[in-house]
Amino acid sequence: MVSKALVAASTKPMILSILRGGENYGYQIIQRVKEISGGKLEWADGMLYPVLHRLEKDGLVTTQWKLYEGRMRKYYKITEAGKKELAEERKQWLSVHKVFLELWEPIPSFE
Amino acid sequence: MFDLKKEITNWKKTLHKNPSLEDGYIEELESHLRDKIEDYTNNGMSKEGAFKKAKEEIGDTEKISEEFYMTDNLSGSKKILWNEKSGILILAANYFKIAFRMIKKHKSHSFINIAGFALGFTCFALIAYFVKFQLSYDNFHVNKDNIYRLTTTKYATVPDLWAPGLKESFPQVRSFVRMQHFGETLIENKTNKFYDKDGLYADSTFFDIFSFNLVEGNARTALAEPYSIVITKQLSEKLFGKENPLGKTITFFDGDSKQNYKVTGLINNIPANSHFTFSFLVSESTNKAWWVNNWKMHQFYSYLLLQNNNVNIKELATNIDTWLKGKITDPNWNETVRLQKLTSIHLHSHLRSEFGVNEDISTIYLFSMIALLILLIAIVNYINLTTAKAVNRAKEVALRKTMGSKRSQLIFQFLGETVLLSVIVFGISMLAVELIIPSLNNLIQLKLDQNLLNFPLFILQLFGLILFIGLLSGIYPALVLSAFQPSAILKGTAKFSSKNFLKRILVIFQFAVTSFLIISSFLIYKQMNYVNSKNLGFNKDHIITFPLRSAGITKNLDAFRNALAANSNIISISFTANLPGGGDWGIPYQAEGKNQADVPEARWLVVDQNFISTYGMKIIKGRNFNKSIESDKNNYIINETEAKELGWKNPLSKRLSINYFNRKWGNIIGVVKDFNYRSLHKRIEPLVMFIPPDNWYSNASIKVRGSGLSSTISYIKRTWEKFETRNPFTFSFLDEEFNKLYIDDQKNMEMITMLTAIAVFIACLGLYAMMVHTLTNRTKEIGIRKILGAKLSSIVGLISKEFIILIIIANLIACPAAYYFLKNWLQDFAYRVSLTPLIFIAGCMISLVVAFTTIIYKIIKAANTNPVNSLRYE
Repeated sequence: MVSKALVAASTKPMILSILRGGENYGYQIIQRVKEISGGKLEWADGMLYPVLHRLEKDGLVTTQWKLYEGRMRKYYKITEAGKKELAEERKQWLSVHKVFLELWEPIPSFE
Repeated sequence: MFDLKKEITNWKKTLHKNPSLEDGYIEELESHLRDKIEDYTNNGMSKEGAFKKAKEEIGDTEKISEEFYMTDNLSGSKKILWNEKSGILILAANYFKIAFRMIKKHKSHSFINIAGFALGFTCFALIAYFVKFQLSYDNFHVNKDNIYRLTTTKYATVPDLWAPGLKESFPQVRSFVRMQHFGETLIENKTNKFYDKDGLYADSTFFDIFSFNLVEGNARTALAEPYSIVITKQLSEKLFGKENPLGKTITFFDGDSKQNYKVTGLINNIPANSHFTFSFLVSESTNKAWWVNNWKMHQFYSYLLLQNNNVNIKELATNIDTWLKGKITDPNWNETVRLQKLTSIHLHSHLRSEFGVNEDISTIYLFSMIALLILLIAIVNYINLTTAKAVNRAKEVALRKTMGSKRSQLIFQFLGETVLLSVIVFGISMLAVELIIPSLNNLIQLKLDQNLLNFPLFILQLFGLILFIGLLSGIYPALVLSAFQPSAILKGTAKFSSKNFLKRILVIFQFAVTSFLIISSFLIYKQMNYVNSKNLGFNKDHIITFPLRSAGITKNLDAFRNALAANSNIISISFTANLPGGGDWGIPYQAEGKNQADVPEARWLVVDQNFISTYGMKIIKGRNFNKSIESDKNNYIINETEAKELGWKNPLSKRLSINYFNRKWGNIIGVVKDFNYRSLHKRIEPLVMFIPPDNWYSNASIKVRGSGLSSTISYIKRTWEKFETRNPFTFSFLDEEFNKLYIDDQKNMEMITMLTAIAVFIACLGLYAMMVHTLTNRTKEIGIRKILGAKLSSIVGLISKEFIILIIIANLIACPAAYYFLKNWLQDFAYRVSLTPLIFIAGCMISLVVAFTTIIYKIIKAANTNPVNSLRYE
């Protein structure tokens, strides 16, 4: 399982990355993360929405209510600003990733 | 059975309880929940199990809102940095929000506050509008500052030779115009036949002096030629419809003669704020009356246009006096000239033979005072209510201060609130004024412009005033509120004194004003009642009067009288040359053994032998005129006052004569008991009655039985038509004409009564709200007292005592003030009721009772509350 602090830090770029592939709604976003991480990364249902709202407030995503099988569903879509933000985040994560790759070569034992 | 729909609804309900979760958010969570449940049931779970699991995974509301708060506030990426300049805008928006929330939250309080204020301000605005109208009289004349009316200290009219003489002798006089009543005339054309009594003779200079709007015709020549006539649009429409009347002919029938007039001008209708009004003007050169070319007959309204440069009016009047002494050689002639500024005539002139009834400046002062008092009561209400409510906002203030609010910011906030409220009140009031003006016009017979928007400046002034009031009435509550100590309030150790000194003073003031108004309207009512029911010395009921109009009647008086007398419902018939209460001539006369200077000025009634019986007057000495005694045509009957002023204990042996009418010395054969034939504002004046030659008679007074009035009148009309075919029959009731003397008093009384009621209502509104606050603050005290065994009566006594004492003090202030004011007011009446203590006692009692009824219900309700309820949360 991934630690809470790491989850909190990575939520934003993950959501933006998922939305880069097309508009999506809350439940589906959570499912996608679960799927990709093989269940190692699980978001609490309640935490996703405040983050999504925050993103909306910051202008990184736009939203739209849509009708689906007689129910209302709120879809999120990434904006240009969101794409820029994602590029920036990506740069940062990659630099962190690069540092770890250097440090952990050859793969040290963690046991 | 598990009901998914119901369970979801319940789940949503619990979410709604959390204030940080908005509707849209909950909606989204629901969608999430449903997706989850769908997934689980697709994997073979039961609906119930799926719901439970999904619900659990989403978490409880606490957890959700916590997450929400965390992301919202601690992400820190866009923290707002506090800065006073940009902050003030955010704060102002917050202030508005809070102000509207306060209005919404305390509905009854806000309603009382706004309604009381709006009612008071509406009254004020209406009266201000009325006063403004009264002050605007004759202001529309371009030359208004240089136009003066030439009068004497007694008469509004002067002889016709004065004004032209002045123009020749005094360079200060640029021009003049003279006017005289044309008299009632019958106008007849193809479609219409009607009497018009609103015409005037006027000099050709009329339009040089006055600025009435001449639509058609030439201002310089319109009134030059004889038999020229200028008519108003109203009359023109009546006669010619939409056609242009210029050059057309109008025929007047005066009794038996007829005369054509050529229309030389058309003017707009006379503005309502003109001190004189007319339907047509006939050129003065047409005037052939016997008093034309005269130095002594007061017949003409004369207006002088003076030079622009500052003319010393006092000096000019004195010089005119000296000049007149040179022109009029009669040693007994003794009059003093007055020059009245045109714009001050309407409110300041009360001479004999005025154009119409002028308003009195004291009435304007009276209404202005009442308006101000009502406004003050409303403002006091506002201050008291807001201050009382302050306690409830202590926590808000404390919190704001803790968060760094400065005192000046708090004052700004609270002032803003009162100003906002004032603006709301202003809107309501202006709407109300607009709606009320038509019925006010109706009620007190005014012609106020019904469209307020015609006076943008006036509206602006009122708006300025209400902003000022908003600030003024907000200052005290703002200071009180902003002075709260946050630490004491938040710790709960703050004490709010309910014995506020200023609050008490304000309540006393309010009720002093209300008592004052109640007492005043009582006395005014009593006086008017007295005036209406006072024995006038004659019986004005069931007397019909009408002008005789033409020779068809006046030449056949006896036959006309006999024809009328045949009807058994006609009790008595009298012909006169003038009517009591109408125009009575002030003509010099001689009294036996008296110097001319000692002869009192007397009124005249030119009557016949039936006059005294028709009017039900009482002869206290001597006898009535007798038709069979030939010498009675030369004799006189006088009233008590005339006998007294001549100093004659036994006037029956004395003699009078009137050189003016070529009447030789005649005996006084009777004395009638004094009767009031003019307004009771005036003292009874000396009066002399005599019988004139037959051809002087111009009016009939007929006493009829009260029953079958309409058939009697139609009988008179039929009889009239047998003698006279051209002139239609018109008549009036004497008592109605008489009541017109009091119309002003009557309408003033109605207005004052109404305003008093409103003032009382606003004050009670305030008292009621105050009581509600007092009770809220003392709920616990009452509860404890009840537990300790206090009876209902003692609790009611305890709470009401404080207020009753204030009201008694208020009454103690109101009584002397009212006494002083009413004594002055009564001075204006020659016959008046006395100022008995009863009026004051009754007035005070009423204000006490009204105040007590206002608060008693609330007190009893509070005192009846179960102490368990009021102390539960302690």
